[in-house]
Amino acid sequence: MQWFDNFFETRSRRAAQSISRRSAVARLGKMLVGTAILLPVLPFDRVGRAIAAEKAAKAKDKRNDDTACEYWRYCALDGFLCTCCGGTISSCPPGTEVSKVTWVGTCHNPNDGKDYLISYNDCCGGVTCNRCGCNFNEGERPGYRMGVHNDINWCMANSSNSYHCTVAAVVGTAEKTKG
Amino acid sequence: MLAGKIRKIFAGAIIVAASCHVQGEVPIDKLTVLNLPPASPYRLYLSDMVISHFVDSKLMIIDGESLNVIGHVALGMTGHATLTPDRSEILVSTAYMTKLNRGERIGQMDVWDATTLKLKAEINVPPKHSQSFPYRGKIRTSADGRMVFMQNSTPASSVTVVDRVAGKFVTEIATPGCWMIYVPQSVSDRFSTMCGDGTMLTVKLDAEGKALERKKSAKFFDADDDALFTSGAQADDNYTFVSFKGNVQTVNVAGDAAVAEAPWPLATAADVKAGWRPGGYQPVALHEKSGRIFVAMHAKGKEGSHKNPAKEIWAFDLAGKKRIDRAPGHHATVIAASRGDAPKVFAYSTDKSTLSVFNATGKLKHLKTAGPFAEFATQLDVQ
Repeated sequence: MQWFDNFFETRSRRAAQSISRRSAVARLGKMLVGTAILLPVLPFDRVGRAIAAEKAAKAKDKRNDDTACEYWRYCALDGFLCTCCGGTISSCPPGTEVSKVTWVGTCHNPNDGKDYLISYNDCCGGVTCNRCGCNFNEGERPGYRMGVHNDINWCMANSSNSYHCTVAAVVGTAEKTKG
Repeated sequence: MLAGKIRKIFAGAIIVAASCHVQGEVPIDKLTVLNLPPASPYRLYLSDMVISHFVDSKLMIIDGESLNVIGHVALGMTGHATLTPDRSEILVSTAYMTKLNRGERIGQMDVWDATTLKLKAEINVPPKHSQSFPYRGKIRTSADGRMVFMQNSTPASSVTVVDRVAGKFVTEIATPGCWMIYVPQSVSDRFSTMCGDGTMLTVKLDAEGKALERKKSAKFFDADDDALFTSGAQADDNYTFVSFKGNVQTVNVAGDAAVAEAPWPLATAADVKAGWRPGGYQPVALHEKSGRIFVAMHAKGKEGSHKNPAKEIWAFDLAGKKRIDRAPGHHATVIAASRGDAPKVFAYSTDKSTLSVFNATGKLKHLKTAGPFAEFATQLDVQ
């Protein structure tokens, strides 16, 4: 259980979020809760391209390693990384299904300096992957703000409530405003 | 046929073995099943979500003096447990899938005998219980023990009401935007719940347990700027909470609407500069008789650090609003205190899976640390 040893030690905090931005996230979370949403299909992945271009230079930078807890999109992820379980940053592993409900964090991309809204969908069904456990809580709030709460099984609304792992899909940019 | 023959062979072997016992050898054992011994004030109930396979969560019962494990209760899928007021039963809000991790989801409240740890009753409820980390407040009984309140999430929030005496589901009460259950001790006909708009909602019930009246408190916290942890420490009708940035907030839940006292800070200006903040899953405990609260505190806190383990445990005089002690934190994320005389404080570390016990009669004095216990425990209750 190496991940437990590193559970808190590997924490890092990158995005200094403003209050107003968190409020926006909370509002978005409310919008998403109770709605069966599908992962959006982005026309192209600018972030992915940026990462590819700088891959050689930043090979050792965990902020660009999507199998590391420190990867920039994981700033508010609490769960097992799908990238360690047969999935990708935005795809669930074979045999699972995307959670119908989810919660949203705001993370800072060090590659382009922008803040992004990240949907932490769980992948559901079968057994729990139990690999690459990470726990970051920027902007996370207790269950009275369910849209930004991560102490809960987001497979709760699926036909199988089993939790497998968590993806971190970009669903938009967050405007940076002074809070 | 073959099995029958094997059974006969084994039965014969046992008789031969028993008759062959001679003086000086290890005596033949009689196989038995224990009941729990009479409870001390330091019996602990540690709720473990078992995050790697939470279709099978569990409650671990620990002697808080020896730190020996003395029993387990199966909590089903992400179950939440509470003791009845007389401590004779353990009530569990849970669900079961008919094919382990798929199939039909069956919602129920399990009733366990707190001495034999045998299942006494299963009461069917809507399959909506909150599949989430165990926290105090996911299941509570009314002060008289008759009504049981269970937190649901679909993810829409609601509370299931069960009549324990009648042994049946009563109703489901919508509690949108609110979370966790807080019950007063002076009255049994209501519960309160904490809401994201910075208020408490109090729901008053009729004789059957159905919602009669709903009243919001005045706004007393800001979930964006300084959110309150939902795990509070109870004394009679009052719950004492701490906030992410380190304020103490006591709320009385006995009336038709909850009433909050003025908040006060845990940290001095110098402490704030060093980033001292509360953290963990159950960050505050209270010893009512001595009027002290114990808070898990970490340094260099900031947005997102609210589940960080404790570097220190701070003790405060609740009435005087003054820090009176600080002790090493033992990486705690869960703090609990015994009741009555000769208090002890317990500090559980979720990530280290260790339990530390302190003599709390005067200044906190570390007695021992043991582990590992659970896989992912976030709630600790004391007898």
